[in-house]
Amino acid sequence: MEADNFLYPEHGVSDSGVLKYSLSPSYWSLLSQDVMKSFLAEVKTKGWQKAISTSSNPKIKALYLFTDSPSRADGTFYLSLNDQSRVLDLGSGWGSYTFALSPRVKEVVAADANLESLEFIALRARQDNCCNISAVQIEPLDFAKLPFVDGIFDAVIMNGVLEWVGSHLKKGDPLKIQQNCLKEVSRVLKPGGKIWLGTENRFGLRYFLGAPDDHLKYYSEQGIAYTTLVPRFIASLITKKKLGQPYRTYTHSLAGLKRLLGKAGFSNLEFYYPDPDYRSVSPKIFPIISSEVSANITKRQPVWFKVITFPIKRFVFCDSFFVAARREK
Amino acid sequence: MIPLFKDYLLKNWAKIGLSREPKNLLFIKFADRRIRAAEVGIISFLIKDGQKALMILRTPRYPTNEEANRSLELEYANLSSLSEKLPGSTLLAQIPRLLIWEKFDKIRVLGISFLAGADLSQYMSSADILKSYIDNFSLMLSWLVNFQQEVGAEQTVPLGTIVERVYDEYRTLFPDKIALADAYFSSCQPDLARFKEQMIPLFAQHGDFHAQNIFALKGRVSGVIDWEDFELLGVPGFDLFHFIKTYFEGLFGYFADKNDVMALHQFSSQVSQQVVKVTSDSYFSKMRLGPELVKILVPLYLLKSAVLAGEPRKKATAAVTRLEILLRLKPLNLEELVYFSSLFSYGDIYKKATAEQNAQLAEICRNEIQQIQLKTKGR
Repeated sequence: MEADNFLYPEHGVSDSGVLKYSLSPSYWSLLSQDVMKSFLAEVKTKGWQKAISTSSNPKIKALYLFTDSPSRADGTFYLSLNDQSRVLDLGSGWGSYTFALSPRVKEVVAADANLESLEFIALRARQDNCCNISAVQIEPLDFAKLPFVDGIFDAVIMNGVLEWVGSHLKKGDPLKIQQNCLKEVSRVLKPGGKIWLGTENRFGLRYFLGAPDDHLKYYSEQGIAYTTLVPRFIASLITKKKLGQPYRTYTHSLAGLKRLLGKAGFSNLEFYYPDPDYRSVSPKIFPIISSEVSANITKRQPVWFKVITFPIKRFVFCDSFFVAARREK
Repeated sequence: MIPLFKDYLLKNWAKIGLSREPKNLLFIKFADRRIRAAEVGIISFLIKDGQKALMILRTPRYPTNEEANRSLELEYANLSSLSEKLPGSTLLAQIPRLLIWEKFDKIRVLGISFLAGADLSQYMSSADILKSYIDNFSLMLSWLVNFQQEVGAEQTVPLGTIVERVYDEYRTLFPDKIALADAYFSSCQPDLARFKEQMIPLFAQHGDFHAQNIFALKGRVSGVIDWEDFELLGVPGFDLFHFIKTYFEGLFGYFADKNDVMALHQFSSQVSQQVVKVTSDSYFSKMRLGPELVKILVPLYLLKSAVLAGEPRKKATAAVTRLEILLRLKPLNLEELVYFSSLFSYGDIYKKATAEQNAQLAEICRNEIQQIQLKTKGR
């Protein structure tokens, strides 16, 4: 990515070519930082595929699901992307969207606060000859401070990211922090550009059935249920008691996402239901207005459940959403 | 891409042949079966106008991938050729109709008609699995015979010519694996020498005739999809072989998922063999192919399958690996082929049982695998 697309010069460039625009290093991964570092050394010497396939660590072996599944990004066909588009993969993680989009667009910028995962993306891009990928280390999204100039992206992807915004800063209203982050996303989008969000539904059916809150699993192996369903101040009382920290990983209902995106300057919202889940390797995707949605969500449930939910079948129970929204012109 | 396609559809609905202007267009993306490599993959959307299904849209995952584009081109060409081949035939109602062949934003898009029904794998009832699976067989068989007879035999050629053709295809794609094919054919050399000059009718071949590509509705076949591998001069009986092989792999996989080793044993060693024998005998007699030819045709089927799965358009590496194992086991007929393919499911259960330290289950699976290996000893 050219220098004039950034607001200020980078603080440095890593050996692998990651552009560093962050002064607040942050680390988040399913792998510990030490394991990650030795894995990256293997990636450099063996190549990324071999480093995964020959690893004796099951967590690294499982990475294939995240790194080599372009079908995870098939939902982006709902956007207007072409060989002239520039896309920002915000919170790019292992880069499954980045590499899936790379053959379809002019340029993909993988941005994350986590330097190590960006190193992986930069190494893989070099090894696979993907010349249109840039890896950029940014401040955690809680700061709502992207280093890019205004209006340069045709699309911004945030897959499994929004719900974590607010958890890096330990104070301030997470809802407000998420809203500010989305406003910042809107700033870097071209007028008419689109955001593609993948996120859990706060009122997903599985939460009613006792499934633990996905985002608290990282703080407690046991898992805590029902936190998404209760008012957030009650959720906070629960997590303070059980985890010793307030509840800050906010997910949203369909109406909540509408409000949040609307306040951040997005319009023309399109909601999709990924079946079984937005994190799946290749979900089936239904527009949320489609009648199949309620039938699909309840099809695996017992008859009593269908009877009880019949009067409120328009209520959206799906476990997660994809959302496409347009930056207002 | 979809927003552009939507605009096109709204402007050109009459030209495409839709009966009225769409009011509420919905695009539902199908899940990827993940059989072929992602980069050569085609993604599919069902397009609906409110409740009414309008068509299926197919497009390459990677717009510039030559192989993915080639797959769509083949499907387009084959569907065109079929509609010319079967003018006025009732069979055309069960084959997708071409609606759109355009590029949007330099991305190739194929639009084909929607065929109602559910694929045959959805008709497997766990309450009476044997009955549902015999029903599926008879549905498949009657459609296949009807289709091949209606298109008609294009040519009659000596058996030796067919063997050479498939052998060449295999050698071209897998030059370093040709020893596998040689070893298999050497075991049926006397039969091959005897029937080499026998004239064989060549019928049309779907090429990927498996349960998920066949739709049924109200007890009848309502559609057959995915025509990119279609050949007018097919290998006799290949579609039947492909159906049987993939159908039983699916069924055995279902038992493996449930760790139901008893059902797997019963179906792989007894039930399936009876059904397969009756079905294949009936088919081969209708196609005027004597039972003595099957011994030569089975190796050909496996080679052809490997060619179709392994070619750059698909890169279905897992399927190729399994086919190579079957080639090594040298099944003599379709019943044996089905029995041998249970090996993969026993292997899956064995792995799970070992991980869960279920020694008894692991032992049963090991015995079953040994039984299959014993049967093939000395071949």
